[in-house]
Formats: sequence, C-alpha cells, structure tokens
Amino acid sequence: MRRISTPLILMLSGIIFLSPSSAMATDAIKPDVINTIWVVIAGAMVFLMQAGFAMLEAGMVRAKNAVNVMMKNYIDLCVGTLLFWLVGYGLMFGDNPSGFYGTNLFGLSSAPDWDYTLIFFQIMFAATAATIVSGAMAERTNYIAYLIGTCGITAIIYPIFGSWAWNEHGWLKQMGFIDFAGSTVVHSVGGWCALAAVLLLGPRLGRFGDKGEPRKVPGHNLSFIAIGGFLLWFGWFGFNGGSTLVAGTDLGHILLNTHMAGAAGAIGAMLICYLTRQPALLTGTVNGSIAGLVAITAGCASMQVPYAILTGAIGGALSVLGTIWLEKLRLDDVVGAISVHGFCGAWGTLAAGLFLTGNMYDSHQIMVQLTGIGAAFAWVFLSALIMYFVISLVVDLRVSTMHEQRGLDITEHGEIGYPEFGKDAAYSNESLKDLSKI
Amino acid sequence: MELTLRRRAIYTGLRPYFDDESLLNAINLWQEEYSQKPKFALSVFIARCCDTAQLKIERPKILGAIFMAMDLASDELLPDPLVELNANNVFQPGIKQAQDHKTKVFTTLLQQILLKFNKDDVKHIRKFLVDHLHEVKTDKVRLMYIREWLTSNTHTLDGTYDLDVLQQLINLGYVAMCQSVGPVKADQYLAQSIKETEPLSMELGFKLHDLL
Repeated sequence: MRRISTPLILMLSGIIFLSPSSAMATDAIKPDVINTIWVVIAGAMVFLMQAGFAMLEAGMVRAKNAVNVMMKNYIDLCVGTLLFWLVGYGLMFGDNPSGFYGTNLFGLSSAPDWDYTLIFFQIMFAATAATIVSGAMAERTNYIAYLIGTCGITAIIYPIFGSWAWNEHGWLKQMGFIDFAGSTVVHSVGGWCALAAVLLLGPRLGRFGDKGEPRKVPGHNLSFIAIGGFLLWFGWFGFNGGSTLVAGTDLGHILLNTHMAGAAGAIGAMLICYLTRQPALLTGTVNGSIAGLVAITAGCASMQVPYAILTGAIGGALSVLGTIWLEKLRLDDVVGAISVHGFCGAWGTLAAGLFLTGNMYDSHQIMVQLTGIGAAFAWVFLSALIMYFVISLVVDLRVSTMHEQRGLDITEHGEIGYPEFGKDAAYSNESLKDLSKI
Repeated sequence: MELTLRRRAIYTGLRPYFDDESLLNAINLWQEEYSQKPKFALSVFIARCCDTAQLKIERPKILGAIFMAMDLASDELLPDPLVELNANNVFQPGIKQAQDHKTKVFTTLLQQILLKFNKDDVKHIRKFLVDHLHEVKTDKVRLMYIREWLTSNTHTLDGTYDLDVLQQLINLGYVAMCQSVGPVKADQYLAQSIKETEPLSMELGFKLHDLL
C-alpha cells in the first residue's frame, strides 16, 4: 500500500473540516466563520487583480517604460492600502447622517472581527479603482505626481462616491441604486479619473499626426497582456463573488454570470472589429473580455444568465467603439482604461437596472441608475480634474520630452526592464551610468 | 532670396550705423524673429534695434539702406556677417575653437538620424529645430552658429558647445522625429543612428550616451 504524504493528509483534513456538511454535522463551525473565510479568500483573489493590471499595462507600453508601469501598479496598492485604512474606509462606511460621507471608523485599530474582514476586502477594491488610472496615464506621467493623485483617489474621491452608493445611509443607496460589486463605484470611478488625467496630460509625443490621425504605439509584450487578462478574469470571481459578503448558495449564479459576461465581452469586441473591418487584435480581445467583466459587475447578482451574456457582449463592443471615439478626440489612453472601465462601467450599471430580474425595464429603476451614473461622472471627473490641475501646478504632472525620449524606467527609477535584451534600444544598461541629469 | 544673401543684405544696410556687438545682436534678432517674415516687418525690426536717441533719429535712413542693399547684386554685398564678425574677434575665443570631439559626434549622430528621412521630413525636422532654438539655453552667438548650420545644410558645425546644449538639440530632434513618423519609428531611428555613430565615438574616446 502506498504511503500518503503528511501535507496531503493535512490538506484533506482541512477540506473535510471546512466542508458545509461536516460543519453542519458537528455544528462546530459558525456561519460567520465560513463567511469570513470566503470574504478574505475573495479579497486575496481581488489582490491578484493588481498583478493582472500590472501585467496587462506593462505589456501595452514600450519596453523603455515597463518598469515604470509595474512600479506604479505596485506602489499605488501600497499607498492606497494605507490611506484607505486611515481615511477612506471611514468616509465610505462610517456613520453617514448626511448621506454624503462617513464620519467615523478612521484608522481603525480595534474593532469587531467582521470589520477587519470588511476593511481587508474593501482595501482591495479601493486599490483597484486607483490602479485603473495608471495605464491610461502611462509613458509620460511624473511618478510623484501620479502617487499624489493615487492618494487623492483612495482617500477622498473613491470613498466619497462609495459612501453615496454603498453606505447604508448613502443618498444613492436610499434611492435604490443597484451596483452590486462596483461597475460604477469602482470601475467608472477609475475610468473618469483616468479621463481627467488624460485630458490634462495630453498625448504622448507623436501619438497623433498633424491632421489628428492616430499612430499606433504597440505594446512591447503581448504575452504579458494575455496573462494579465487571465489574472484579472480570475480575480473577478473574488471581486463579484466576494461582494455577497456571505458564502451563500447564490455564488454559483454570480460567478457564472461573471464568467459568461467576460467570454461574451471578448466575442462582442471581436464581432465589432469584424463589422468595422478592423483586425481582431489580442489587445482588443483581452480588453473586450475585461469590458464584459466590468459591465456585469453591477448586475451579476440580479440578472439572468442570458442578460449577463448580452450585458457582457455590449460591453465588449463598447470598449472597441469607445477607444475609436477617444482617438478621434485625440485623447491618448494607453491601455483603453477610459473606454473599458469608464464607459463599460456606466453601461453595466444601466444594464443592472434594465435587466433586473423580476422588475425588468422599470422606468423608475432606470432613472435611479442614470442618476447614479451621472452623479459618479460629475463628482469623480470634476474632482479629479481639479486635483490633477493642482498637482500640475505644484509638481509637473507630465515629464519632460527628454524623459519621454529616454524612457521613464531610466529617468524615474534609474533601472532598465530588459538589460540583456536591449540590442535594438537606444539605451542599454551600460549607458545608464553615462546618462547625466536623470 | 536665400537666407545667407538676405543676411548679407541686412548686414550691409546696418554696418555703417552699428558697432560690432550691436550688429551681432541685431543680426541675431533678425534671424530669430524676422528672417521668415515679409519685408514690411523690417520697420518693426529696425525700431527694436534703434535703442539710442541718435539711432532713433536715423531710423528712416537705416531702413532705406537695408531696402537698397536688398536690391544689390550678390558681389556688391558685404561678406556674410558670421565670417566678418568672426574675423573681427567679436566672438569669444571659446566659440572660435575648432570643432571638438563631442560636437563632431553630435553632428554625425544628427546627420545619421536625418539620413533616415525623406527630403520633406528632413526639411520639417530642420525647421522644427530652428523654430525651437529659443528653448536651447546658450549664448546668442552659439545659437547663430547652430541656426546657420541647420539652415545652410553644411556638414560642419563650427565651435564648441556645452553638453547640455547638444543634449537639448538631440531631444528637439527626437520630438521632431516623433511628429514626423511617430514615436515607434523615432525610437528605432534613434537606436539605429546611435549604433552607426558608435564607431566614431569610440575612435574619438567620447561616450556617445552623454549626448542623449
């Protein structure tokens, strides 16, 4: 007889111990424990979305800016985490008599266990909203200015809107606004911040020709983009599934809706590329699936599967059309964040009202959804515009043309992403020491 | 009328009224702001140059002298002011020195870059550089040399220049390249040109990346 290894025995014991039948049989595990386990695991899955964003965005920029994008994704998580714990969580989920912002729970050091679970889970959401901006601003943004912007988003802009929609006494919540996991609260907030930043930054050097014709600036690593897409998709199961805050039986429905919408998003993007006679690029396809996931985030718990597919497919198509439209306006969004997160977040929030199971096409619900979408845009876009404008006055928002030429890896961080493979690059690892005035 | 001839005409008209230093400043001003403008803008140019009471009285005469000079044949004009003023030791000794290694590597690098473009693009890049020379932080005389070099399409850039100046010029060239062909090709052309210039920089013992 073969011997069973000790780790395997431990793992099997853990599974048996944690299984609902075992819990019910022995009555040893309380529902709170199961819920906590589910939410913290879901939070950890959402954390993995940071890696997904980092890979996706790094793949979409040129090799000379890859480290900078990775750094921004890494450090905005760190900055966002600390600030959301200190300020954001209180603003978003503290007592909210006015309906507009929370007034306590700042920098919680002692609280019931469930509050810790919620903070952990919500921190991942705040970090997601902040990191969406990094891709749109890539390849020409001052690192310090970006970090200051991240502080503003995670400490003020995101939690204030969050308090309207997700706080029990928030004015939008009181109206009946549906945004289950954050199509608007998380994704549109990130998208509209990105729009404000991109407007103030201007396009990368030479991104548009004299007559406004867009010039493609292909990313340096398509494999990164695909892996980033997979990681994000996986993390989304935690994002939407964890938002139940309960390990209930509806998880299967929520995750199936999520998965279906992601798949339909990619197909929707491909179809619209086919109809508009554009090549079905990997970048557009991955963005299409993310757009589908963004779109279903608001209504994943409240619509039937066919409508989830429709929501995702329209989201995917919208991501392609939105990108084309923004290019016509000469707005340079490096990764398509405004279209994917901003536009598709708004669409998904509307779809959650349109396809609400048991109350479809209800005009009152649709008006509430539109009010939430409009309020999000007005608050987030204007506050982000003011914030980035003030940042640009204090520290330059945009790097110099010299830095754009050298690449932000060298100028902002003093290191090169691909030291061994720089044969075709203007700057190699050896030239680092010779570059003065970085 | 080509730029050198027009410059000689301006110089011929101004010469009787200005000393060497004022002449240098006036010609520099003309090149920077009035060389691309129509003739009638010369009256504004003269008004700006005549900053003493005596010169203000003589403004109509000076303007007339310039218009007359513009109708003269090439062999009746004074030589190019750059040569003439150089001979009169108006320029600082440092500038008059022969081209140094870094300037030689710089000119080769820029020429290698320009070789990658068609005629129209080269014209656009040169014009962009000339139009943005005011952003380059160096003295007027050196700017005049650089402007002359860029507009006359000659191979040799006379004089010596700080590294900062050459870096700024390469960067302006990069921006112009991005505008002409987009950022991807601009990066490729820059990298190719660096490779092609590297043998010369190694031979001269100058680190090419100091220019970037």
